[in-house]
Amino acid sequence: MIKRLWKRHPLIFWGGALVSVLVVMALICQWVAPYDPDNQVLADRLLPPSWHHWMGTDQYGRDILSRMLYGSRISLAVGLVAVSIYVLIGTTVGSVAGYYGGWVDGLLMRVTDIFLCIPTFLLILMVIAFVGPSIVNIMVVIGLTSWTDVARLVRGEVLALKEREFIQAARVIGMKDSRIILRHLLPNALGPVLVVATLGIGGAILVESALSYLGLGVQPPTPSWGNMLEEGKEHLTDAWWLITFPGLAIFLTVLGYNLLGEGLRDLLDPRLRGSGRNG
Amino acid sequence: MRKYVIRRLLMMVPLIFGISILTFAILKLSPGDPATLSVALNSKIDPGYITKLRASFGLDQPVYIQYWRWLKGMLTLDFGNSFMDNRPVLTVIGERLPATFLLSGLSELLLFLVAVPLGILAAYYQGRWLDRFTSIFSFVGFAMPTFWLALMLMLIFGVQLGWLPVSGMTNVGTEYLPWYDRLGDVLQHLILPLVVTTYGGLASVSRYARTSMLEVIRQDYIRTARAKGLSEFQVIFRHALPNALIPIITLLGLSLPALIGGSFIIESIFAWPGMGRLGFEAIMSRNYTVVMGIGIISAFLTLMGNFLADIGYALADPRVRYD
Amino acid sequence: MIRQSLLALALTSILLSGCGKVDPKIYAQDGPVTDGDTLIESSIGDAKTLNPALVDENTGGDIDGLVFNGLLRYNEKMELEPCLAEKWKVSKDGKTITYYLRKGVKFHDGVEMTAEDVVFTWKVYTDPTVNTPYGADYQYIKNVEIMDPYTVKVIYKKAFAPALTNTFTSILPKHILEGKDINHDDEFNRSPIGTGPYKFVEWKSAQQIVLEANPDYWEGKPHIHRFVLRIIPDQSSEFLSLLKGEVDAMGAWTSGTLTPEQYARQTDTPKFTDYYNKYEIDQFEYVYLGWNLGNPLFADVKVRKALTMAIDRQAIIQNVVYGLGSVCTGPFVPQSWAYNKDVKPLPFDIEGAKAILKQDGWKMGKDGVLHKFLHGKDTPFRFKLYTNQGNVSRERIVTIVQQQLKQIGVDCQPQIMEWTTLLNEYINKRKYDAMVLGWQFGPEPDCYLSWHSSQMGEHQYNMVGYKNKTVDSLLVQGRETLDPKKRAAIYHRIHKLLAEDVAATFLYVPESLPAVHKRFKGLEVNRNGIGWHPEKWYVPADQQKYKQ
Repeated sequence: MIKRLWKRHPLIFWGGALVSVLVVMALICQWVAPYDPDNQVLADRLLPPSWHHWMGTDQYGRDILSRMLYGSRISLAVGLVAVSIYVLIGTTVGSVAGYYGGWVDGLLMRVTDIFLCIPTFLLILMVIAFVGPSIVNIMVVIGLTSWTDVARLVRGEVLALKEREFIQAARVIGMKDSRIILRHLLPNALGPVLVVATLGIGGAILVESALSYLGLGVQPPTPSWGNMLEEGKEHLTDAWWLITFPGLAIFLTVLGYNLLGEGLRDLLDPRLRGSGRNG
Repeated sequence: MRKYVIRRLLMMVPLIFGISILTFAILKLSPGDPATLSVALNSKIDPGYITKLRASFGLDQPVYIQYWRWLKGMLTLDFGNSFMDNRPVLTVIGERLPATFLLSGLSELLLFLVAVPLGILAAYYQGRWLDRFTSIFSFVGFAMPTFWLALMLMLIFGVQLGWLPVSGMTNVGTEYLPWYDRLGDVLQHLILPLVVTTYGGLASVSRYARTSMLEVIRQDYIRTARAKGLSEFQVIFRHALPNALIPIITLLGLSLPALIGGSFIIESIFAWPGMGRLGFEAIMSRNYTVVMGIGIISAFLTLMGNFLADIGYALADPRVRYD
Repeated sequence: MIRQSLLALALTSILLSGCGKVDPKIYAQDGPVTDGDTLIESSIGDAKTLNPALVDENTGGDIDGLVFNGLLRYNEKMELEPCLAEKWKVSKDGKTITYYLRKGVKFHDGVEMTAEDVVFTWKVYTDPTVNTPYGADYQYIKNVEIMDPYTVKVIYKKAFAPALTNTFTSILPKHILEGKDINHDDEFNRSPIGTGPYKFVEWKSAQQIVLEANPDYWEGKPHIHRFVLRIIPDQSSEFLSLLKGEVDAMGAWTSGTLTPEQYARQTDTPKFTDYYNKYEIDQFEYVYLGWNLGNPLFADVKVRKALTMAIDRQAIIQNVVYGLGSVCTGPFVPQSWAYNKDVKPLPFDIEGAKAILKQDGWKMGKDGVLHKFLHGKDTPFRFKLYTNQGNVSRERIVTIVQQQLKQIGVDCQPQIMEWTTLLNEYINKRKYDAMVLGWQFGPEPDCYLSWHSSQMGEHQYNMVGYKNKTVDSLLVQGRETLDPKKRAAIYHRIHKLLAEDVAATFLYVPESLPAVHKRFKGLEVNRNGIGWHPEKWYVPADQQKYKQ
């Protein structure tokens, strides 16, 4: 089965593989990490990768491998929670706007436009300045500012499906609106939303790492790949291992989610198969 | 159609108004104000200085009065003064725009000149090595944290190999050189920031173009055209491409606001004097006039860009109607 | 035409890429004093204004130091010496200072500086409509009288010792600024005119500030033709620019510096050592851990002593600044005459700290944290330690202190936050538990604003809330006593009392770590930093890099 997956859907295979590694890391890090990630051994500062410390130590003597493992938790958490929040908001807004149309649609779309107009990163910065940096705040802030794409997507799907016969039938027999939306319209929109969500996880991880890099994200000493990059930046020339490993981790993780998302998109969208020079 | 245009243009006004209120509210609710940041806790500074500064900036007045003052100014297109150095916001933004335009503009240009053809070719040769290569290339680009890439490139190309400059827009002493030398100097300084800025975009735009082209190529009319015996050249360039490019036009419109945006991280790593740094520093110092100025201009460009994209779409695709 | 431009391009690239084409060994040699060349330095922040009356940050202040002169200045021994004033006389009661001005000093536009300018400067700094950060010290002046075009009498309400060093540090040109709105005069504020060794050329916001040698400078024409300050907002980028040769120095004529990491670990490659020299200069700055004395946890001096004993200051110095600093025991720096050498730091003694806390009634709880019944409630010894984000040393200190205090059962939670929020919400409102901050000042030790009990209000500088009547009166005396020996005794006592009271846990004094390209000669390294007398620097003809 796995071999078939590898041959026919390489994107999903490789994406899924990378993502699974991340999830496993996050789940078992407590038992696998060789050292306590917060333990400073000032005498062992800035040691290059060696048998004792596979990824070396940072400027406080903390083992980088252990910090990397714990950092995966942050990345996973931020990715999943932030995306869940904005999928929830976006789906609600989009389905309500698409289903009810009229002034409801107009109003919701204008609100969406407002959010679209302000450069996302600036908006996130402003809100973080307002509420202060912390893991929870980042998750919520990313969630609250990135729902517009999902909203548009869902609205489009709902608009397209709204006039179909089975929906009209459901209305005729008196089914409640919310039931129609939840049980008949949304499941059909699920596919594209899943794709956007998967790709979004990668995006959320990148935003978190950028914010932590600026010092506005996860606070030390809690290790996050982003703030490890920020701490390691000063030693760019003399301790390359401080930023290479976290950077690579972010890269591979986001790559994994992107591959998975794109693979899902190819899978779910029957329109994109065959008919080029080869079809 | 005309009614639609007028309606869209009129709609922009309440939207921009809404954005200004939103931005103002968030900044004002954030702790601190422009005066607080002035004090670096230098013990020689008179503690009464902050109070004086606040009063002279009008920050001691109720919030709605401050907003009203700003709004009044806006009616005459006076964006107010930056609290950092008391100069008009438009002057401050104007100083940074050229650098940003240069970087973002060239970046956009590169994207459309390189990414689009790449994506289209990838779609055409779907499944072959070109497609595979661009796919891998795109994915790598999407996933790379840009600041990491920036630091690595700077280290390798700037310092270790010494091929490219690492900071600023120009070298010192170039003011006295002839224009072609100065141009070459700026271009040299542009290379690293440009690569970093464009890299991620290349991925998404080429992917987008690929998808669009793929969709078009599946269509029946393409098959018909081929069946009719038209040359491949005619099939692609006269039938497929124009239709595939329509969504790309939308993308063009939507990337209008990006022209004035910049990444603070990249700009501070390369000491590029652009809008990204301005925006970030303004937010951090609660310099709300500058932030709102940037927000308004950005919002205007976004709305305009959306609008132009929709119009372009309607003009290009006769099936689209906006009544 | 094409060939010519290609040649020009080639020559330019050779000239501009400097390093690599020239054998670096020649930079180690000296040569005859020649005029020319440019010194390029970098700075993290841009200036906000260049008007000395309005400047409140380092970059503007540094540039003003080159463009303007004051009446007096410090010499290499940190004593006052003449600058724009050839000599000065202080009356016996200390209330009148008479300055005798140098004749023939010209502003950069050619107009001569006279007593009128001194009076005008005073008027500007005391004008309530001018947003000057430094008005406080001028409030003690009752009047300024012109005796003749080159003699000025400054009459004080009370004898005020800091007067000589804190007032008239930049003389403003009356003929340009009189009648103008100082706060908004962009012409002067962005293009200042003073009497200093360098005159202003241009300021490209967020990019660079350019100054040029003042050929009529009264101390002699500066040899280095131009000074360029490039704005590079990222410290790592700054250093990379230095290595690449795009920048000649960090912290030479401005207050920049290498970071301790860079100094200790990244300057031993040939890329650095072949081309640059580095220095260690004692700074007038100390880093401290301030306990909010209004917080019941820290109210007792014994507890503060214990906490201080649990903090290994040497370890902090080793790990935060790589040994490039010295332990600080009071609100002064070791190189200051006010520093009391007899005050010894509390020893690093974990067992001793534990014992003191045990005696105070703290018992170890099951959670590894000390507990005690305060006001009837079981209180764990847990607090938040605040500092600002963006300052690597402070962030490090907070992380290390957390670890150190854990060993005695004290749970310290780091709160690293954005500067504005920290200042506004926590420090000004005195809502913080403890904080790690620094104080920067000059050689003048008057610290009334930081420790006097009248200065505990919002926005004022006695942020720890220290109240001690004896210290209060000593601080006032210190300001009003002019005799240097008596002053020294007063400040020594203040130092001793603050240390005994553990008014704060003074951590260390960091060093400034400038780096300069080897081709610059004529430097003098002393407590003023290396940028003292910039007009004496020069580059021998065969080593000059920027010709134009």
